[in-house]
Amino acid sequence: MGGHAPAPASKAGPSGPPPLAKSTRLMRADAEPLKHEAEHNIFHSELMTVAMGPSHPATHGTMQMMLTLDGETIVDVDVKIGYLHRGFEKMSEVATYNQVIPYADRLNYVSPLCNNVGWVLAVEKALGLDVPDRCKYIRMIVCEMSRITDHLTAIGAGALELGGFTPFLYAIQGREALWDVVEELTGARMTTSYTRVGGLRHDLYADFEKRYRETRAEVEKLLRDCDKLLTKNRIFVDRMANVGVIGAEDAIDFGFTGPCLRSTGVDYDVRVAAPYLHYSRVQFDVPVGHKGDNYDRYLCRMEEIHQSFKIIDQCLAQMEPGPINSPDWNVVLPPKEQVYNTIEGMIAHFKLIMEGVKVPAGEVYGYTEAGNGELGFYIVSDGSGRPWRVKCRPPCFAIMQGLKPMIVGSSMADIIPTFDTINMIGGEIDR
Amino acid sequence: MPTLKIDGREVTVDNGRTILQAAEALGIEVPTFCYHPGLSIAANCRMCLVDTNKSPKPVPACHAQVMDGMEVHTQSERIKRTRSAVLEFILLNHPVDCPICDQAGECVLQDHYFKYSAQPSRLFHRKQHKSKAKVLGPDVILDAERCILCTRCVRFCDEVAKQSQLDVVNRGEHSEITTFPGMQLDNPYAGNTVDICPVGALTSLHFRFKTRVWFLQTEKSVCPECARGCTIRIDTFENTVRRYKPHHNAKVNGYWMCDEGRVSFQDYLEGRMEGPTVLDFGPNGTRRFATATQRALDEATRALAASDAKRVAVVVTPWLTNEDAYVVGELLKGPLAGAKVYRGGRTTSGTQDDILRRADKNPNAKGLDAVWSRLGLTGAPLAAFSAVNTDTVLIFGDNHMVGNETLVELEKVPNRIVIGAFKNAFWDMATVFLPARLHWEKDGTFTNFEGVVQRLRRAVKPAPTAKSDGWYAMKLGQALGARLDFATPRDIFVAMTSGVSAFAGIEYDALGDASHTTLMGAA
Amino acid sequence: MSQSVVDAIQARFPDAVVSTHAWRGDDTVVVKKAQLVEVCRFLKDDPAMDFKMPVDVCGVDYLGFKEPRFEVVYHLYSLTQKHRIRLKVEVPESDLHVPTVIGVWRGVDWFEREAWDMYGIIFDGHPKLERILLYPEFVGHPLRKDYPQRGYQPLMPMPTLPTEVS
Repeated sequence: MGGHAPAPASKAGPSGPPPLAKSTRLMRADAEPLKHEAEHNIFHSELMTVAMGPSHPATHGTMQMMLTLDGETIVDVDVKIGYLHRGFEKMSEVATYNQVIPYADRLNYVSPLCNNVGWVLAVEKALGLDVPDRCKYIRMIVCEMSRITDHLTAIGAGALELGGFTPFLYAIQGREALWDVVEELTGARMTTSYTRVGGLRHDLYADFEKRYRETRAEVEKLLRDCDKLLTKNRIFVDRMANVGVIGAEDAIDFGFTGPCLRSTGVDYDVRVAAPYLHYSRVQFDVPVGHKGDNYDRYLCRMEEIHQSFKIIDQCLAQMEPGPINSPDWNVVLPPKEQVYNTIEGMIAHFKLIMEGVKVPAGEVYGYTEAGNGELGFYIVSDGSGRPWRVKCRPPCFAIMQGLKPMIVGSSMADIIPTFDTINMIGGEIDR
Repeated sequence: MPTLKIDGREVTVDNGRTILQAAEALGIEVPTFCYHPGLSIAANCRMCLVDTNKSPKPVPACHAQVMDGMEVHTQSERIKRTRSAVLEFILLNHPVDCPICDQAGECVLQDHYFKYSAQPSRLFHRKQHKSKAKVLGPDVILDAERCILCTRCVRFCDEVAKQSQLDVVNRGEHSEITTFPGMQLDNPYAGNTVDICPVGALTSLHFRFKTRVWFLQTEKSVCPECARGCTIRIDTFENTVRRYKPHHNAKVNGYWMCDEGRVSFQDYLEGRMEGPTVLDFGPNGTRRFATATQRALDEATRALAASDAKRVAVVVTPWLTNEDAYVVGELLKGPLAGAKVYRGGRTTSGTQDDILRRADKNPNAKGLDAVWSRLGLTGAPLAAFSAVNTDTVLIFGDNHMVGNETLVELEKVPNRIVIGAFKNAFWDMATVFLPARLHWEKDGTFTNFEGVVQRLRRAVKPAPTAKSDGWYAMKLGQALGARLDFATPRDIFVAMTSGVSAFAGIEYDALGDASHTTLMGAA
Repeated sequence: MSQSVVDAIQARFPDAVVSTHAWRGDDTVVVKKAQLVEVCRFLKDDPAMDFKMPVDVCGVDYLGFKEPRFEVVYHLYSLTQKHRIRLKVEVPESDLHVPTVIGVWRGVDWFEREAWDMYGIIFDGHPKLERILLYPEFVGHPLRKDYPQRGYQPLMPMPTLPTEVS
């Protein structure tokens, strides 16, 4: 629905001020009006409806919140999403399984490699296909790097909106350093399309480990600076602690996953509960909060970055040289010299490109831990090379449902930090 | 009736059936190259080998007859290796031509290799070279390197076309398909060898490099070039017809179609007139104007209503679909009762053979007769047309075979309403021209010379101004006071089934893959 | 790997289960939509099931593939028991109504709205069954198989703004 026009202020008529409206600014239905208001009745207040978004300098991502305000207090909020809906699921129905990968890049666009990995894992689950070890380690590495960029964006944006421009730039600088490595590896910062069904586009480049160590040192330093600027900062803590609170039971009931769920004290991480790739071979901690407020979500994200670096270090140590693609030509393209010089390679290449990898008929739900939580792909296959139905289960879709109880009753100023720590990404929630 | 088991599933078939036929009955797919249901069995490709308990060696399923108590295995490890090996041998000398081969996308070799092998090449040697892009005949071009020597084409020419124009020469890895020296592959059914060639060895000259097959959209329809009415597939891309292919119909054309029909679509691609025109006899001379359909219809109505029906001549054609013919018949029964009826169309004494081609080069002569049987109209031949006592002539169709004298007679008639599609003599002479739809732009039915009723399906979206002959007849009839109201050809067919005895009991939707015979046995 | 869940549902609601299957490690139970809410409540409240987290709800259109045409697919997860289940209800085109399970889990709210938006499946009892990803004036339900890949929508008139501010 379109926005409502703000209610006009009441006019004083010729016979004096109009009758006063009873103040309705109440947090709970049974709360008593404030004493001075009841006595003096100086505020002629009515509820005001404000449309926040879809284009708003402080909200990251396009969505609209129709706020019903009593002064500065939020009485009601109607969250409207869908401004970035691009028909990912509809388009996937005419694309082959590999052609969906560039679409998946653009889901959570700050962590595209998480989407890449999540999608091909779901397809490989349907195929019943196992990929070589080296491929699994590399997928873990890039997935964790994407998770770090996702968290850096969330932390930086959160600080920015509260007035901290410096930590924002530090976080973005760290993100840029990581994206430089990603660009050197995949060719693009955000539209990576690095994974393939049955393997990867190509192996790590020669200097990867060296570049990673440099970048890691840089990002960790920047993160230390952000930490010093924010974590014990009076203003930051005042604005984030005890704001946007949600309890564990409510969070579970809404379908929260990821840092938003863990900040409430629930220890659920897909990498631990249902390990995929080689997550069972690496040691890492899962940070868990206890209050479910913005501050806990911020702390969870900060700590997860360190844990992600730990995982990448272990992967690089455990990795052995070897093939990165499954050897099955029914799934993975043959090497180019065979495609151009042998009829077998030519035919296999032709059929794979024209008709796609044929996934047996059936349905699977493949899920991974992305930056915001459990990213799931429900794939229904009809036996052909194109999916019959693709449903992307975005983690922040469930979380945004829970935005309303988090902010109703608080002040308007609390919306921004809450919205930032939830880290809604428009591409993911709207697809 | 022997009972056998294939992959653990039991089936009982008639005596003399092959294992392949039994597997088909169970829905089990056994890959083949050289087997074709319309040709004799050669069993030379060895792709259909299956394990049985009746023989220590695998047997070709296309040839081996079933025996009671036989157990067949099509998925054993040995058979999987066998198929892989057969494909490996076939692919040894196969050129890496997929990017330039027309067959890509509908190539049996590609499909079988991907499904049953997908193994890398083990050849570290040069491949054997043979004739490349050798024109064998007016419509067929051979690439001998791609040939897998299944001999389907040789058997076709021997058994179906009855002219042995192809054979295998040389031995071993030098074997090649070829025509006899100095001879061409020019029998009237040569185009079918392109259809049955499982690879891109024999390809069609008129379709060469025109379109990639995965861009094509297909509709089933009927070939209008003679009274046989072969069931065809019309392949289009970007709303243009690119080729015809025969569709299997046991009652009409088997698996084949003739070359005349196959290339006939090219005649309809150019020179199309899609806008109604009206001739204006003004003070400054006679000029032709493009006009809106309604205005043209009004002009036509005015001409038809101006004089008595006895001074109106109507030329019909056996190219009208059954539905169009029915509505025109209603027109001739109603407001135009008493009009002079002539029958045009193309020649009825063309080339005929005992394979497919018919002398009558019109698709729906029998249908027209059946639909009009209750009207008692037959119509004089158009060659006998006389302009005497005729004020208006309404001509359906513009591909009538007429001599100059008939054209001159027709031009003597003051009002000439033509419902046609191309720029030709009829368009030139029209005082009112109403653009018609071609057979591939229509839904409707044709009845072939044996009384088989088949459906046409719209394969090409017509121009908005082009309407079917039946629609014009309906509109003119309505304007002249008749109560005619049909929304779709289906509605007309339904009306026909109650109005015309020969069509009673036929369901329009049942005219699907199985063509229907009319109850013409009674007629 | 949640055979115990499938068994429990079959034992408790034998006449509600239409079919079950397991593939690639996922277990699926198809239940009749009339008993959907009962089954869901059981799955949430029974301590051995404890499916407190609604993971996903979506629609699927099987036009031309099988009858009935639509399905609504529920994915559930239990944090304590660590098992998952896929619940499906079949929705024929002639009767697009499915009872809402928002009373069992609040988190199916937006997912059901999306199924309505994309497929036109009506969730009876949902407090606010409106379009969520598309604008309210959108015509049709785009994820249906008979909605074209390149569909065109009617143009919307520009909204008029009030010219006077009092």
